[in-house]
Amino acid sequence: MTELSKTSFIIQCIDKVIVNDKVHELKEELDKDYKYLVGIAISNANAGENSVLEQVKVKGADVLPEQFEAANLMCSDSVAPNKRFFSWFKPIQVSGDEMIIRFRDPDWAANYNLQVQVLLTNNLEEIVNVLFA
Amino acid sequence: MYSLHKIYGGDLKNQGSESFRFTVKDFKRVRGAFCSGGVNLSLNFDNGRNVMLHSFEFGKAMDCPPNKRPLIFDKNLDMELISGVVSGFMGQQTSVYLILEK
Repeated sequence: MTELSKTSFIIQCIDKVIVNDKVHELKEELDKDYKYLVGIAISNANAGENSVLEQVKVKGADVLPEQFEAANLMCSDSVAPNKRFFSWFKPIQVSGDEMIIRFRDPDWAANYNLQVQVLLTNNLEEIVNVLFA
Repeated sequence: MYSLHKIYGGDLKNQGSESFRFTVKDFKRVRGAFCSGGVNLSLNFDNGRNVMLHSFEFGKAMDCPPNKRPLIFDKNLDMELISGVVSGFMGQQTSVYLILEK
């Protein structure tokens, strides 16, 4: 079985301070040295469980369905760090493309830092074996 | 490779229960299903002849890795009508997803 430590990957973190219950847009260019986007996770330290990803797009194409519940990308601290990614979507071929995430937390009560973690790789076959093992 | 499709999304009305129908085109297999936490899902294939789930309860499962939360199965499809019922409490925002493969 392939081990995560032996594969070529990077976890790119995209941060934004959430200041109200309206839509916040996160935009960031993905690392140009990696070819595929294969996983997404949200740090659940602060985000409400009813939060919604209104859109997640790369190159204008949807990575996840619109109005995707952020809870599907969140988990508790008891989950191993390399198992915290959601990968049940078609891997997206990237090359330094901009990722746009529209996030809304209807239960927002105080400012917090939202962190979206994006898993990028060059070796699609190996990383898929790791993610679904 | 997998493709994720939302086959139902909305607020639960009708005493917290909603039915849905979805026709699958251009995909050969369905590999799994999941929905919002805290609701029950019934799912029928083969135009209603094959009941896959009957009031199956999806928990919130935050201690479970996100990739392990969907109910995984392997079913061939051919221009199929998939129908089902999702139930929870009145006004609950709910979505149902299928994982499809070409």
